[in-house]
Amino acid sequence: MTNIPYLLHHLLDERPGDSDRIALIDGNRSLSHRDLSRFVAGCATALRSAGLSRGDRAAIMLPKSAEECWAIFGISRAGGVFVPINPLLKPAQMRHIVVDSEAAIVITSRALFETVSEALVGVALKAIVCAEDIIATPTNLRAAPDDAAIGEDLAAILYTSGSTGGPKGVMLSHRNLLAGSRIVIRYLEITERDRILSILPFSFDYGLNQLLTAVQQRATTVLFTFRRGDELVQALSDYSITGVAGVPTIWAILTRGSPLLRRTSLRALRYVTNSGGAVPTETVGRLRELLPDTRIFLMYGLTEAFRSTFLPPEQIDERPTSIGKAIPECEVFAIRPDGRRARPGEPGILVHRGPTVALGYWKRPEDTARVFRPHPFIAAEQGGETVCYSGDLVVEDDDGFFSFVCRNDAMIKSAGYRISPTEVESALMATSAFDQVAVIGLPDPLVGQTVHAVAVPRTEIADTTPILQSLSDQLPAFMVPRTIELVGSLPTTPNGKIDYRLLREQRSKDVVA
Amino acid sequence: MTTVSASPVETITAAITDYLRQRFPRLGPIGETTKLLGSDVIDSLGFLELLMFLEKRFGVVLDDADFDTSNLETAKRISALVERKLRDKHSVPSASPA
Repeated sequence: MTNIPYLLHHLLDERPGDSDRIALIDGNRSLSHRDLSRFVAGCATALRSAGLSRGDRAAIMLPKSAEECWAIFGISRAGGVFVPINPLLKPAQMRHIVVDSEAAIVITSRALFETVSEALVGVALKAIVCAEDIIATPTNLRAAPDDAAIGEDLAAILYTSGSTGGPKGVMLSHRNLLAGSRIVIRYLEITERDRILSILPFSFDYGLNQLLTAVQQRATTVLFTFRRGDELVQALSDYSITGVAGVPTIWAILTRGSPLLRRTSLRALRYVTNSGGAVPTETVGRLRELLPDTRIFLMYGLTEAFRSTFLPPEQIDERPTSIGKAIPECEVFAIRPDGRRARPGEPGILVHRGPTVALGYWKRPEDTARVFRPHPFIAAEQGGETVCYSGDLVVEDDDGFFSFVCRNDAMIKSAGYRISPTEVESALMATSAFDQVAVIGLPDPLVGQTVHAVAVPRTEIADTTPILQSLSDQLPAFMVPRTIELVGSLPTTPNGKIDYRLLREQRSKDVVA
Repeated sequence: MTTVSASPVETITAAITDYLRQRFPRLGPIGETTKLLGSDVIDSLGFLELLMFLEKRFGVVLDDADFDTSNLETAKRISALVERKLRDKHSVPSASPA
């Protein structure tokens, strides 16, 4: 490479051999890196003619597909900011993201066009573009020479939930994304020989990072969705996959619900990575047994800092519950409630500093000020920069390895998804069936936490199934409570607020037993 | 688990449909022949949860051979599988018929 990339789409700048290397496999289709570049250029042209200007947001509402990949890079090339939307979201959440990000353009598919248009009635947009109408440019035009953007410009907004309210947009610059890609390439040692299986959504920083690393290294990304564990094993084998990223639930499916794995030798599988929650030690053990030659990377990250820590695979037998140490180029440490640095053994909030720290939450100065704070020990006038306060309680051991303890707030994490209890509570209250509701996360070996609702019914309710059914039309499946527990009243704290801690403590005991 | 072995198929089916109704409300009203696998309601995680439910509730562990999708298509098929597994479990191991 002659030029060092500083914008996301620079990763596609032509290199010798691009036409021979497969970039994407999507079902029956496979695209070379050159093909991908041509579609990206075509996408940028289409977006410009649809009115996209520098800095405009373009939302992507597409299933995992080659189209979604070229939309991500195409928006960057057109000077825009991409906002990927998880295709599992229902119209109301999709609308929230498009409205909140003030997107100018939405890219979707013909199949989804009607749903998307209906969900966005009354929203001021320049255009809704169907991915099928985007055509590749005949030649791979070099990155537009009129690139006015610089690396500090916003490249993406990734929506994620916290402990309250609707999803917030995490702002990532081109430099953030390129740092994330470069760093992960380094410790996973990704090369052009890798064949990476992509099963996580690109709306999730961890899933997106897989695509960026693969494109940067001219590796192959295999786009895949599956229903049963055995289909996943089959894909790992059929495509000679060398690396896969997953969340704890996926490892549970692979080790407990995929009998084919025992009969399949995945010789090519060089590494697997976990993020989005802790893998139960028992599952780590099963993975080690079933994939003895595969390196297992336990990682930790949050969208606000893109990627944050990883445990070197050779440490996994000794420290199966650790999230490791900071990724290259970054530093993490734990801060006690009194603001001092936590000593080994003392729990503290994980603070992350480095080039992956996001620019803040889109149009939410208060939330931004809470999470993106000045360096706690180095004053700004002495070079201290903005760091990220994760809200995750961790503890460091004597050798400098961190372990996750728990969230420091009410946010629920289920199957890798961050869920805001208040968002689920609002949906429950909107059914008019309850006087009061409280939504909590209960420990669960498969998904980390399950969403549990405790509710005071307005009138007697014999069966909550119909309510859960109607809720399932309003909320994506991962947000729908597993159960609605009916009670006469909710416990309150001396201040008169709902006592969430007590609710959790009472129920966690039952579940663990 | 020994008490469950006496369960007639209907009881097993009822327990399974009850579980499915609670866990996957989006399936809507389900009968013993509602197609489970064709719908997009039960995803890979849901499928695993169903297996774990069977393990916990009936004490049966599905092996390779049981994973044939035809065994898991409907609540009725699943309960037939469970009933078969329970019978095998409690009978004296012998040369299995071909």
